[in-house]
Amino acid sequence: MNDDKINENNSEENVPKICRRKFLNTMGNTATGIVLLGGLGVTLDFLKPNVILEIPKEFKVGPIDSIQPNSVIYEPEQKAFVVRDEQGSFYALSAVCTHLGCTTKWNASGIGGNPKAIISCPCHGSLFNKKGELIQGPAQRGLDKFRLRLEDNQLVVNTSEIVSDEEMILKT
Amino acid sequence: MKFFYWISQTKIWESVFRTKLPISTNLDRALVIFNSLSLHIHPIKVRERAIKFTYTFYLGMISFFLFLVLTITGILLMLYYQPAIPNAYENMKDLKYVVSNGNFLRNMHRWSAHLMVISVFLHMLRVFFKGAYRPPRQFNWIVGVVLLIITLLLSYTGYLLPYDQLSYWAVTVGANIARYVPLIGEELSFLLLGGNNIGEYTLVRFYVLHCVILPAFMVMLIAFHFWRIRKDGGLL
Amino acid sequence: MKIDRLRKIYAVTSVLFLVALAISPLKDYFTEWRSIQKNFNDSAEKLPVKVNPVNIGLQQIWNRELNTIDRCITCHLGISNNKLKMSNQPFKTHSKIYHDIEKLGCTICHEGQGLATRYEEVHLPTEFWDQPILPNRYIESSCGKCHIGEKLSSTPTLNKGRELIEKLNCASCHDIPGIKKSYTLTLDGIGNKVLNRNWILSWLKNPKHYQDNASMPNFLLTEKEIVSLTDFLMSFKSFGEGINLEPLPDVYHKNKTNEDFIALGQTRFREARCISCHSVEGKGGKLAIDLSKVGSKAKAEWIYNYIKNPRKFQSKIEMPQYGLSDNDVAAVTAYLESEFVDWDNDENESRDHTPLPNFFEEGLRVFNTYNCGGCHTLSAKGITDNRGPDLTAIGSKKLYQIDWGKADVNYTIYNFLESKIREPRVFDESARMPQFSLNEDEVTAITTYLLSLKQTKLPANFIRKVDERTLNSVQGEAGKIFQKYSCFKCHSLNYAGGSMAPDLTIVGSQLNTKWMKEYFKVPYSIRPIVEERMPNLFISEKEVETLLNYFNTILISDSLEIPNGLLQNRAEERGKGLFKEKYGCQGCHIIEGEGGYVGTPLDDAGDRLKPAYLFSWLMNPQKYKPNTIEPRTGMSAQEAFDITSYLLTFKKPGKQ
Repeated sequence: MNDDKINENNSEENVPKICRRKFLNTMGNTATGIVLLGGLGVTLDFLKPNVILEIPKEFKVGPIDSIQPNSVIYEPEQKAFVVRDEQGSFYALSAVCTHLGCTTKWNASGIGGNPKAIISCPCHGSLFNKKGELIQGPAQRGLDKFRLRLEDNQLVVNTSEIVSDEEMILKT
Repeated sequence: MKFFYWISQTKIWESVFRTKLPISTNLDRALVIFNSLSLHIHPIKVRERAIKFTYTFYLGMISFFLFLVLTITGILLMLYYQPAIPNAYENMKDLKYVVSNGNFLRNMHRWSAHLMVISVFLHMLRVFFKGAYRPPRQFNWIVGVVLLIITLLLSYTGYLLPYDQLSYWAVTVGANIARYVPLIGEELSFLLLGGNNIGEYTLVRFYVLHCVILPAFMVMLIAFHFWRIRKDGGLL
Repeated sequence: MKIDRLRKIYAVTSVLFLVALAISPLKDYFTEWRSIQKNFNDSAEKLPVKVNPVNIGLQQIWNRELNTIDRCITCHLGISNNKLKMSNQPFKTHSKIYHDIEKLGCTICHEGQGLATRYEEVHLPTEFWDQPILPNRYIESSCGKCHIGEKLSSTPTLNKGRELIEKLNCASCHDIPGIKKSYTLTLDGIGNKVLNRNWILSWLKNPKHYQDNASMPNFLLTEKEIVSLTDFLMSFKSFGEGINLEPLPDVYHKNKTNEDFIALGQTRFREARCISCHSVEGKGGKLAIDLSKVGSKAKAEWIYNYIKNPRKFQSKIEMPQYGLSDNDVAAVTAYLESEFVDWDNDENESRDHTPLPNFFEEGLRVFNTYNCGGCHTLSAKGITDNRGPDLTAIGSKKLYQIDWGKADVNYTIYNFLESKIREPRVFDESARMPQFSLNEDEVTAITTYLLSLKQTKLPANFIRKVDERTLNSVQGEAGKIFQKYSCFKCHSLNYAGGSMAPDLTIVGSQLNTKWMKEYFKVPYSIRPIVEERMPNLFISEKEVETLLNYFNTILISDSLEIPNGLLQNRAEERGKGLFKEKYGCQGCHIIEGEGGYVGTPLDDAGDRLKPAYLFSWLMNPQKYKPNTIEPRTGMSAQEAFDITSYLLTFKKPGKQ
């Protein structure tokens, strides 16, 4: 308000000079502001990689005939257990512990004298059963289950698709 | 306006800026200069002709500004660069083809580097022709010469980092020039390259020189250079 | 006033800054690949089949083992989408190959700059990338980077290139990995072999004048060089120490014009299938020299001695040593002398020719300059091995290392190789490499093979190298017989060796001993549409016995067996039904006198084939012969057994 008054007062004496000054100031300030904000945007854009060197989310396990019933295949790169149960159906579990993201281990002959296969986490001792269901904390829920599908008799696991207990089983 | 006034009266503002607002006396005006990092390069009182454009052509400041640009773009470029063979060259390709604005930043870094060499050199010429190297400023002239040498070394070490044919042979030539130094030439070239030929070690050495050692010296000497300007009695 | 000027400068420069800053994001946004992806999504909507649109964004294939990153799939969006077979580039489906493209990446085969995302920089040679996209005609060279020495059915050009390099004996002057130099006739005694000097003169001028398919290239010699080289060669009259020409037997002198005698020679010539390897008037095999004018070239005495024992003159020559009697050989000689004559040849040697005083030194110089000793042996002092450049890693030769001379070609490695092969002296007129007469397909084939010779750092598990020692692994008596009859000139072992005749790796498990024994006596072509090529070697009973022994003990496969538990009774009947109705085998195979001409006739299958092999073959033909056109039908084991039982009932009457 005060500024406007001053301008109005001054304008009576030298109208074009003040207008010009104001215009140049505004133009300069606006452009500088946009440059600063834009520069920040450009930098943020730069910081976000457009391509990353990561393995694909989908991977082939192999022909289904080559996997024996009642066996498990661990894919270290994808951190996934691919399991074929006694009935011959398949499912895939994430090997990443739901507590703080350590990689769990499949103990085929059980631990602590219990002969049942069990999945254990080395970091904080969470235990999961063969189906990935929680047995003992500190994890709060069971392991993630991945979507499985068949493609030309090849078993394909998609680690980007997490499914429910009912959906995870692939019958053959 | 009221808002700004309120802000300027808060404790936080006072703890950061030592000058109390509003500025009304000449002492306050002097304190603004005196208490500011960026402004105290000048003495409390500055003759008007000393801050005329044609007096210094702002060449020192332009060099410093380019150094800031180089630091910022350089740090950003480091995020996409691995000093390894053959990754280094592929990283250049990535900057060119897939990183958003990567080429822009890389070109900015490169052009600023060229301009900085030019402006530092012109700055030195200006000082020379104005006689600004005379006592009591003789030591600051020496510091300036060292800064010029560091600028050139930064240019040279940065040249290898893209690891293409141009940089490879430029550095080969440079290392052979080092070989002509009397007595220690062979040793110097061996130390510089980390071997007899350009290889992985050379790349890492040049990377560390370019990104850590030389900039660190540069920052320290620039600070000293500015301080000496002030202590030697301001611009001349 | 001054503050105003500064204000003006401030305003203008800040706007300029804004413009400068805006350029980079705009350039990023209006990039080529983005518009191509949008174009793909637009055209995908219009297609009759449902094609999922892509998410706009850069895509790449990262092969960790090869350490390659290929961004080709950013624009080539349809390579693994079978619905886009009919689309135009860049959206077309990749043709079917045996490798997983999405794992392997693109540049490992196609070259070009996989990291780039702009058309020119990806496909064409640029300042910072001198390997542009490999033209499709050379694409098979990339197969040869990993499949070293393997003859794959899907790489005909590469295989042809290798065969040509072997045939043209490039290895005599160049080091080429895996290819040994072959031997042509020795020049020892050439002065005593040829009828007269004129033949050598005309031969050296241009071997193709004498014979269209001469394997010796034209060295483009000057008149002076030809004369001194001829005089030099004519001075060698001895065939080597202890090797003398046996005089022609009396029966030759007596009967050389006798028509019956010549007819006998002709019969033997035909039975021995000489034209499987040799050609006559351009017809016949291409492995050995043309015989059309041999009577005007060599003396009868020499021909007689040579047929009797080719290895007497050259231990490594691949012509088999036939078991013909002296009388038969004399007859063949007479036949050759009477029929295979160059009627235009000037028989009169110019008697008054006196060689220049320094003809020997001059001739030796020419001989060494053009490295004649690379192909021909000659027992003279002062012969050097004056080889050409090493071609071990020619495919990755750096462009700046090439002297392009005045040649007007685009600077790429394949252009260099192709121009050099087509016209060896195009880059440098003083080059020594001779002029081969090759057609464009052959030039491409050789270029393709040479391009495959790369200095690559491929991981060891990518390399599939054929063991070169396989052929020499046949030791002992059998090995000697293999060598004597040059079996591997045509046949192969573990797919190494000749490609004209069947692979012998598991022949012992494939064929019945009795049938093979008969076959050695009277070879015939199994397939009606293939010309008869296997010569009658007049091989002795004892040698046949040794060979069959070797076949049946070493060249066998342990994995061939018919599983237990298959229905036995009435198998033949069911097999007949399957053969004729379900699988329609007679479309290609002849049985009971009816059927197609592409496959082998099966009327004697019971005599010829062993049951276990026949069964295994039916289950998976490609396992035993990768390039066979017989389809893998996926028939069940029971069906295969039934057809096997049916086919085994076919036996030639009277052969038992």
